[in-house]
Amino acid sequence: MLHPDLFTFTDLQAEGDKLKTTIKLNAGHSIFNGHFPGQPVLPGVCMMQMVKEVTEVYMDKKIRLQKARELKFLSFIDPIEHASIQMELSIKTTDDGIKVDARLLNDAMLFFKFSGMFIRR
Amino acid sequence: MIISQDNIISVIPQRHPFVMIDQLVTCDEVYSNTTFLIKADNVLVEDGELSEAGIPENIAQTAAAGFGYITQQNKKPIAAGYIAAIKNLEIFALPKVGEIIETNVAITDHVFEVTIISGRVKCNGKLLAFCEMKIYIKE
Repeated sequence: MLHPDLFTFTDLQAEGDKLKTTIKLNAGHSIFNGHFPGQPVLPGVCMMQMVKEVTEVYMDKKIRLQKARELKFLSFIDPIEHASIQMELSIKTTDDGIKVDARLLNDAMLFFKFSGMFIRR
Repeated sequence: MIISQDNIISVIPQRHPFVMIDQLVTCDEVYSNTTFLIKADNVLVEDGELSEAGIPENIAQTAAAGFGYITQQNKKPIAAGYIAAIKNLEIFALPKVGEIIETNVAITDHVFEVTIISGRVKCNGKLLAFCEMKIYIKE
């Protein structure tokens, strides 16, 4: 789990199938020692994991990513410069699983776009 | 094997605790192949399994080790690489702590500073996951 050591989230607001939350990153996490030394950047794969973990908390279920058509990493997230960012999600339960579309952004930038299908574990 | 676990960081820019490959088994200009033992203290292990995040990271680092090995042979410094996009990712199962995964990557295209790859992760001969990826390499 990356939560709560790498990131925490607050102000989880739901409206229909849309969710919003404020993400706070911990720039002191050991992951940043290795990715990369002296040049901390949030690994793209951790953004994907953060989407899963927020979805799990919201749904109160353990899930596993099964398919992702496209994940786009549009801007680097420096954990000091971008210590607080927004996550927006749309979560739809279908016969095939739990379809999640999500974005990480702030007022000025879009960092990450996610579209994936999860299954219950 | 061409690069052992003791030397793997000589061909990739990632460092502990975010090294997600152990050995570079084979590689040439197009293909690279690594192995990785899933350990309990891995930062991406959750509930006794490598989490989903570990799969594309392992594929990306397998590609990075291939580029890095060729770069090293040409006596150039190892460049940082960033995942720009992951496409058509499918995960059938996740590897458990104690299991060794084998990963194969093929470079399918280069467009300016972006390299397009496709990768597959197997464990005990069974396919666990595959995806395509765009990797941006900062020269």
